[in-house]
Amino acid sequence: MLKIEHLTKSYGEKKAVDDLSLHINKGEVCGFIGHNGAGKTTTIKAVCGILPFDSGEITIDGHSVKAEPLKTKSMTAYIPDNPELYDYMTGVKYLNFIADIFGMDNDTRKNKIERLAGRIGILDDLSSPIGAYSHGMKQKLAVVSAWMHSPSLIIMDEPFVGLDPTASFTLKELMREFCNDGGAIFFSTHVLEVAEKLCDSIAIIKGGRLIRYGDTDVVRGDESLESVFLELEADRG
Amino acid sequence: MKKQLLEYAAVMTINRNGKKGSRVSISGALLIVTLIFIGAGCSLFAMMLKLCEPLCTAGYERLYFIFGGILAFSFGVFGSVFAAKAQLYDARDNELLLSLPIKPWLLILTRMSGLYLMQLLFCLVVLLPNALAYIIFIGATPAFLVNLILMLIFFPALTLAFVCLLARIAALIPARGANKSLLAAAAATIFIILYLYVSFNLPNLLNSLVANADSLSFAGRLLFVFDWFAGALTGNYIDALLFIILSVLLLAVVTRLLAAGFLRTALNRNDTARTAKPTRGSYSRRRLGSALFMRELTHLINCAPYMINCALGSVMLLAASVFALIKLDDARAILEPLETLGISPLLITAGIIMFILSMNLLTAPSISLEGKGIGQLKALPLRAFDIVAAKLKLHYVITLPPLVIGLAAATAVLRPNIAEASVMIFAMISYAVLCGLFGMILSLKLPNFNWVNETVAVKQGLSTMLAIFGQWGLILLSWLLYSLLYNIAGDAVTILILALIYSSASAILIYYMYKKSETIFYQY
Repeated sequence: MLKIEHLTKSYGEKKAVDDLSLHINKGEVCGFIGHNGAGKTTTIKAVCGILPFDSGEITIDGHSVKAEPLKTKSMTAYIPDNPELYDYMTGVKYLNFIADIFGMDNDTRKNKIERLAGRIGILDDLSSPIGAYSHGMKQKLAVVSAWMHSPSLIIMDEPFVGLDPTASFTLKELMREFCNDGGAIFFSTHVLEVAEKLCDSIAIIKGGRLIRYGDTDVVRGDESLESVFLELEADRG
Repeated sequence: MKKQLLEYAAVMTINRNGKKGSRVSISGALLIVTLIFIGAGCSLFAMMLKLCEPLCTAGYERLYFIFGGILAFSFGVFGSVFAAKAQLYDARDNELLLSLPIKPWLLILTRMSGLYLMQLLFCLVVLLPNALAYIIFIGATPAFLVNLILMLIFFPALTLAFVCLLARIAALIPARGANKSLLAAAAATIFIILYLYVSFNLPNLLNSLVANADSLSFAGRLLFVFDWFAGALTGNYIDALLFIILSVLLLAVVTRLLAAGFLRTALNRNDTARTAKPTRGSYSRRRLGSALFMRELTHLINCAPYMINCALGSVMLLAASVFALIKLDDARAILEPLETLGISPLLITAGIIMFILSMNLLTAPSISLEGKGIGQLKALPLRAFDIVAAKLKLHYVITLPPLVIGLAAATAVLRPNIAEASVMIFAMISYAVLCGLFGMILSLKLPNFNWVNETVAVKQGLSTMLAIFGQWGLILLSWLLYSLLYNIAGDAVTILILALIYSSASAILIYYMYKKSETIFYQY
């Protein structure tokens, strides 16, 4: 589903991502973990087609992010770490806007919005302006907007930040259901317990380089993911 | 205070990538701002010269300074209420700073320091010409000069107090986003209509002022603040002291008032929250172009700074058209004699319309206004050209209908023949199209996503400033070209040539945007 081949991106003299390669299959939840400034957000933005990169190739279901940006974006949903939604729109107007971009008909969008928003606990707030939302509510709205147009790949940057426990649980359920239905999820997180329980595979990045990648059980071994992560951080000093 | 000063400096010195701009760009920006203020000051100086001699030689020096004071007050207060509201209450770092051990009154004071500088600039633009004209005709005593310096320091404090009070009232209006913005736009429209009325009737008003100096002088003294101000400038130290005490007291009271309610007003964003499920009618499908356009339109009507500062041309054009149609004979009386002086009324009218249109700047800050949300927009399956087209459509929807009304009014006033009317309409519409495209190119090439409130994105962006000056430059070039060709080709043909130039330039810009917008947009 997602193939990142030798991705390199520099900001001036600093290499934010250095020769990173990663493959995520359909049905897979891949957790992307690393210290602050490791290159997670840069990688995610490159995959979403937001950030141009220096070299390498990124393909989504065989389509190049560089050569076919509209095609890949139509199959993808992106939830940033701090959703900057449109404060001047109400929640439902924002969702209608997203639905229009993805060409959803009225009945489909109504059913999906009400089901997802009801499930994640934001249905009663959809008539309010987004400017009145808390961070967590914006995050929930972003989740609804990502799920509702049935993408093939969902990319999230620290999606659990700001969500209440119920919404976090619901999001984890949604993620699992999405992948069971054939989708793929690539997300970054600092919450290693969640990554450990939820992810099929784990990629650990440090200083722009991928230092460990594989099935969660293989990466973790006999220890906790936290211990593995801390050891790797210490090793590479 | 240091953080605040860095913020003001950053507006001029930090470029769209968040890095420090080059010396050339910083110097250019400072030069542009300086020229704007010098230009405004010169036009006010001409007005003050006309007023000073008859009033001051007849012994109405106080009235003369009362007039200057009221003008400076109006200029300073009504021109910056929304900027003050944005600076005090809508700054994005309010929550961060209030979470730190910083007293609210200190935060307010530092924010007001920037507003004081703004008021100082506005006051200087009016009061310096006011004082200079007086010095030319009457002369300057030591008392006058000392009190002038004191008034230049403390008058902005007085206007600042009123600006902040009005900003507090504006922040407290419990209306939903669009209603609040429309209220603000309506208030600004009323002010503009008043301004137009005064500008159009200025010679008559000035003559009336001189003719009724006696009774106005008495009325002016009732406005004791301005009377003290005027008294100070006529050398009265007691009046100067009273004015200073009042200004400082007012400012202190207003600061205390603002500090008392600051936490509640600045942090309460939930007065518009509603608890209601969306109704069936909430779900409506739109085509992509329509969805993108509605997003732009919704943004405009919910953003008072955007509406007031960038759609001003439409409002002024409508107001001027109505005025011209009501005062048809007066408008003709002004324009038709120009022909005997060898000046084409058609050209002057076109120039006026073009100048008014240069106040419509909807495209120039449009990319900057995406702010930090630009990343999410780029993640959607959208072509950059579709996004740009929606912004252009907004500009034309807001600009072209008032332009058509303006052209209808111009036709009623000038009574041109069919050929003249046709080329005039063609030229003005193609000029309006070109201005929208020009602003859009500037917005694409010079966006600024690092702003703490939308007023900064709208008013202080380089794209906005260059759009204004670029359009003025185009008006000047058009006039020069007209001067060169008029004697050879005549009125109608010359205007037709200009129309064709505007249309060709528009075609080139559209082609450029079609080819390059994707590359530019996705490089941000």
